[in-house]
Amino acid sequence: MPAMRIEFSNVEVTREGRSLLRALDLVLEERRLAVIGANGSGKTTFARLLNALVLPSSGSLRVDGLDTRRAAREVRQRVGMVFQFPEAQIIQPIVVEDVAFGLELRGVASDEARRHALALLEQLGLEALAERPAHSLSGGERQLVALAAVLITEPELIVFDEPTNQLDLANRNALRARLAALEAQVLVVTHDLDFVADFDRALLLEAGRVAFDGPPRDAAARYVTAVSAVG
Amino acid sequence: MISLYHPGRTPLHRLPAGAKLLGLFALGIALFLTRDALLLGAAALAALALLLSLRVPAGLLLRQLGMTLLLLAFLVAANAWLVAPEEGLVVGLRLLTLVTAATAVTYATRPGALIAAFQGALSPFGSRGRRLAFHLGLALALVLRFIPEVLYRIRELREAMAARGIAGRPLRLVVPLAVRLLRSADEVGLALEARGYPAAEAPPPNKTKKDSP
Repeated sequence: MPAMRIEFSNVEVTREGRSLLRALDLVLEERRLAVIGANGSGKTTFARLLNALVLPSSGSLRVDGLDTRRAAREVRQRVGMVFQFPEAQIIQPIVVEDVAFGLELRGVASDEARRHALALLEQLGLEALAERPAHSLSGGERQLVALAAVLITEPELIVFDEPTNQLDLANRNALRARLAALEAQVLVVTHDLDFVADFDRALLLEAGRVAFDGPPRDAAARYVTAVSAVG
Repeated sequence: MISLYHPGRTPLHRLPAGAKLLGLFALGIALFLTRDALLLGAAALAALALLLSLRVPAGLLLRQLGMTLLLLAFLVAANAWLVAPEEGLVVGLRLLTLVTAATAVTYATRPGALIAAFQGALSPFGSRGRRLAFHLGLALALVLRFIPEVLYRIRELREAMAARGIAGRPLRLVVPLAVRLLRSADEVGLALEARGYPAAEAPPPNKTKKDSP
């Protein structure tokens, strides 16, 4: 699956007079992208821009040639998002129903959607969770169910917002392997530097600006230096 | 009664949700057509057998039904004392049968299937009905989803307060609880949007082809 072209032209995001992101001029077309930075550096806002959940206050953002301001629905069909707290993302009470829900929103009949959801859960090795109440899942299971719920609509780009925050080491490594196997383009927002070490490209955000753009190793080194300079 | 669903493969699990709902409805009417204590007793036993056939652990059953049974016992006692002992018996058996059967259906039916059955009942009303049914179904699912969350948040707040030495006074929970729930409602709204809500079209009735995404 070829990577989509994501084009930021002079994007700024301000909210209540505060500037969250500024002067973003970027073209992203790598298959594995990382956005790293400290708390409050604008990482989550960056992630939400890609799914048209946040719109640029000025400038424009095109995903696969679609302006997020004008074609939010089409953009969301191409871009799936796994939230920082996957429990917020799980909407239906039972796992398989939640996974099927994304298809139902796209007009697929419910029994058909359910069949696809079961097949996907099986493919991911999660069939044992299918009939479980969503609120009874562990943190790691929740993350995987949230991922399944995104994968079911076959997005071309999947955005992960701090995916490893709530995971223990085993679940983190499992997620990493799962992510490496994904065919879709992936963008991970994180401060788990090691998690994205073998990605194609990393952006380091500092106070809403891109402070570094290049290989993850160099971005991580620069981030660590910046942090120790402050500390 | 919401998160009581207990996965399994018993005959009652496999029955279509609509049939189970209709059955409950019919049972509710039938129970009030007779005052024969023997007949009602047999019905109560049958309902109990149905509930036990689901193989839900007994401890779980007692924990979840304890309050209801207590309330039932109170009603029976009140009727027996205020009206007549036979009246207490009849009322008690009727309610016991109904509660037991309804619990069995709740245990053996996915909430989604219940919602779907209810949506199916609206489908004769054309595309308007389907759209209404889809939105009502979503609203119901969201209610179901938030019940365990509310309980979890209450426990979390209680523990946080206890840890800081603030005990009792359930009223003190109200404001922080409301704040937390509103915040998580916001998050859920955002997630709904990210997943493509509102739908372009209300989902069509069953047996439609999935267009390749």
